[in-house]
Amino acid sequence: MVNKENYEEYMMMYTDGELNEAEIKALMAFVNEYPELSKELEAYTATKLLPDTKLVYANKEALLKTLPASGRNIGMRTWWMYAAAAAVLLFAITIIKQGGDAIDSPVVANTQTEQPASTQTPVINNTIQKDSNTEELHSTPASSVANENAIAKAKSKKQKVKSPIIENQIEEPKIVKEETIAPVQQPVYKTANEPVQELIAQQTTQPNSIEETTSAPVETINNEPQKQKKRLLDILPINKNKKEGVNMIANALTKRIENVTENLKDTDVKLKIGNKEIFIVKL
Amino acid sequence: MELNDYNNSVKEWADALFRFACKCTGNEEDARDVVQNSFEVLWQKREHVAPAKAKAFLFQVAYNQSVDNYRKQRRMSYKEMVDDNRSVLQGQSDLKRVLERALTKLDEQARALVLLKDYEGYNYEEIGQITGLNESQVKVYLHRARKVLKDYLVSVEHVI
Repeated sequence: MVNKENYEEYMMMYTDGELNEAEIKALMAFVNEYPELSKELEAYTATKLLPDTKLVYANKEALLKTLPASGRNIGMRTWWMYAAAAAVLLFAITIIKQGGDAIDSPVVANTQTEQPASTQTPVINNTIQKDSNTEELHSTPASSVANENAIAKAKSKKQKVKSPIIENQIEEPKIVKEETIAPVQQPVYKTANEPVQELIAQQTTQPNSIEETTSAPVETINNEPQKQKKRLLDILPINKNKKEGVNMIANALTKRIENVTENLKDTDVKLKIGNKEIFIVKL
Repeated sequence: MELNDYNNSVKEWADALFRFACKCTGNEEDARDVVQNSFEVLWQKREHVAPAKAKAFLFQVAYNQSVDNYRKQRRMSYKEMVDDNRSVLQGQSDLKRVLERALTKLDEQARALVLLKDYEGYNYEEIGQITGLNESQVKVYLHRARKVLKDYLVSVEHVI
């Protein structure tokens, strides 16, 4: 075990604290056997350095970190939160609205003209009025008075012709899907339904009449959050100037969002004001 | 590691790291830079460092910076300290101060190994992980350094 050839290594390992109990006993026994080596063992153990605890790193606080600014809501000024809330509401409304608009493709509009032949005129009238309602939504998403009036009109009209529309609503979506897949046979339908088309053309600039009935229920639902947003904005305990500010942000945001294509559905939307991330909407 | 873990590391290890860096670089100014850089690297890599490994990570960064980046500079500064060695021999009998002088006899790597062993109590394997050496290399280099220190102590004793 410990001998004259390796005792120094044992002494160094002892100093390093790398010997087990048995090895330590063996080393001590060897040193006892050769007392002249005890000084050497002392010298080795004396080489063990002790840290100078008086030596400290001044200003440790400078090394500490705080939460990164991004994604932090704490300390956000209140008007930012109101703006964020309004923006989220408007964003949600716009997304749903765009979802409704997506159905209103020109291809679909042409194909739908075949339907009026079998449906009654009240249905057509009704759809046209709803169409005008949607136009209002498109043009002024944040104007509450106009919207609410339009909603009221739409609701009352909808109730009047309730039963015939329901049938259309159930059938239309199927046609929409079929036609978007195979838009080839449009001219046939056009010629077959000329009188109806003329009637529609007189009453509205958009040619799609019955198709609108399919989107009409969606929009009446969409109007609800719009109303809620308005009410929320009215309730908010902020002064007029700030409300106007929120409205401006909301309008600006809406304009931007209207330019976004359908790809939006596959991506996250992040709102940044300056360098501050306000929120992320995951779709 | 999270923000709290990082800040705890600062509070717990900044002083030890500074002492290690002081002995490695030979001056406090460089040591402060080493500590700052080490913690900055830890912060940047915090997502990949477990809290339990933070200390070893810090010493690894500090070791690399001290031994590699400050090698030339340290040689110069330690040379000056060695030149001042006479005052030690003449008047300093204090073991601690003698040992500090003895450290100047070691090269950068050997000094870092002794510090990691004596200051921080790392075993050979852990020192190997920090320095990138294998366990036997650590043992050999450390024992070589220990022998230099011991011989220095004995020689000083004889002079005094």
